[in-house]
Amino acid sequence: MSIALPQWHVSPALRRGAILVGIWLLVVAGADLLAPYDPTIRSLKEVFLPPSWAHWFGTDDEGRDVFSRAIFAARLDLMLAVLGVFPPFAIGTTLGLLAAHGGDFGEAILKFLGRSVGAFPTYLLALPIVALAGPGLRGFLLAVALTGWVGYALKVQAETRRLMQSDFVTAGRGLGFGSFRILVLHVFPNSLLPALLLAVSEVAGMLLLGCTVGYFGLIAPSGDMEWGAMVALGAANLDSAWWLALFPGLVVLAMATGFNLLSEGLAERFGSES
Amino acid sequence: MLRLPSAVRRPLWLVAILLGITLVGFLLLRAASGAEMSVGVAWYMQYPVFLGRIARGEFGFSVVGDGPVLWVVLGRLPASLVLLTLSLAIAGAVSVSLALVALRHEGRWPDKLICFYATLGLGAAPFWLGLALAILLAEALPIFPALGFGDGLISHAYHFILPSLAIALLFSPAPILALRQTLIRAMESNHVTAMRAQGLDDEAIYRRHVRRNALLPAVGALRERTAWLVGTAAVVEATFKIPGLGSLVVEATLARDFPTAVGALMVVAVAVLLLGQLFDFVAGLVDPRAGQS
Repeated sequence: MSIALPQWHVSPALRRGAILVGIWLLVVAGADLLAPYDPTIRSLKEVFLPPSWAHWFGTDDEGRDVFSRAIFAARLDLMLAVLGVFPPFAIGTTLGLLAAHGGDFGEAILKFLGRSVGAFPTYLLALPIVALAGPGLRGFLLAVALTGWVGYALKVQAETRRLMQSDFVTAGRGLGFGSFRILVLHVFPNSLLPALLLAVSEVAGMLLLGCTVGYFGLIAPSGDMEWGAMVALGAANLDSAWWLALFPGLVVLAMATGFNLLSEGLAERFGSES
Repeated sequence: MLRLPSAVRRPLWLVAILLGITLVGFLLLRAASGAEMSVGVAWYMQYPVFLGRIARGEFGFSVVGDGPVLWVVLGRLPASLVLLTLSLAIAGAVSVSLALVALRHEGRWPDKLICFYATLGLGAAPFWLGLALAILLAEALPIFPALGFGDGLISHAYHFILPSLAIALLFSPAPILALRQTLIRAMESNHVTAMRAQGLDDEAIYRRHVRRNALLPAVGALRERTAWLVGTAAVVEATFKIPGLGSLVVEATLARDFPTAVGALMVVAVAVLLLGQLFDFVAGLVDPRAGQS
């Protein structure tokens, strides 16, 4: 008897996304080898140099090599993007399951909380939260925990309620399992895939959110290397040094597009119609 | 469970979410000011007291704006509204026409180029795209003024072109992809094949039968990301230093003037709520079935 193995058809989006994200992982791991200069060395003789063969992305207001800084900044920005997905995922999935357990009442409560928080644009709501919690990665994680759970909770809740109608749940009830046991052991594993796909699709959004918070000076106030802050320096010197704003933003685009393609490819691969 | 008719349910939900927005604002302000927000008021009475103040229009004093928060926030509203309206109009026109071009040339280079643009556009940082446009169109080719707001009505209008273009470019990728997808599917559907068999050409089929059905997913793509649209516009507005609500939230937060930041945020959230209603209304005009859910 032959077993039908899953066909690993790799779509162009999945392939391109995986390659781009793979390149970024290499960049983060090998920043010391890839960066042509020490990103922290100041040189008063080389301030505001335009892009050249010696400095691909030019130099900044303190004569530091922008290309090298962009490479090292990938570390913090990748952390913002990837770590930022976890708190909303954990909180949203839990709230979605609880709401589904609570039936119509749970659904109404979740809709109330979700739509109230969801009415605030995350780009704006995150700013005072980070400012209050203290600028930096931890403040950012708190801000996304409080603002980013809505999508997961609504998705998991809807998916769980849909699954509660299915035959295997009826069968479980027939076997005398409690509703909480069915919810956690039988329904939850089945509603996890949409939530995981949503999490992957959120990575690029988290990167853009993190960089935006960084642009307004709330991720790396002490001058750590971060793409948003680098663009902000460029915005302050837009008339004299255009390269300072242009290149770090292009780098953000390259990372975000990698994660977007990866997410698109995975969504196609694991078939989510919604 | 009791199901109220939608004519009752919808307004009730609107009121509930308005209260929810004030609750979020209250919690933020409480976190900012600690227990000193309302001295001598029991914890369970603090939110009702806060709500009472808001109902009377007392949002506190704005350090950033040097005046009552309500007046400062309302003074910043027009610039944001004009920018958002302009951007939505440009984005709507751009998405519909680009999706159409993609449909006409499906699989060939114009389609591929448009898909490439839309895919790339999804990954552009909102604070950066405006700057990139400014570098291109204000610094390299001095067509438009760069950052700032200008003086006088004509100068204001001139300063609005670049940011609204940037916002429209950020808005359009999702609706383009959604529209293209539905249009292609619609042109492959059975009723279109039947019309082709009757001798109608694609142009006529598109104009009379497909276009209307395709508008709904485009509105839907905007509808489900209303808060994101407003947030994106606000970030671009702040990078261009246009005195709107987005820049007010940024300025107030950085100055740690939280009453102003939270007041502006609550007004933004109410605007998101109303914009969502507007999208629902438009969706209902396009397809009467859309309003029933």
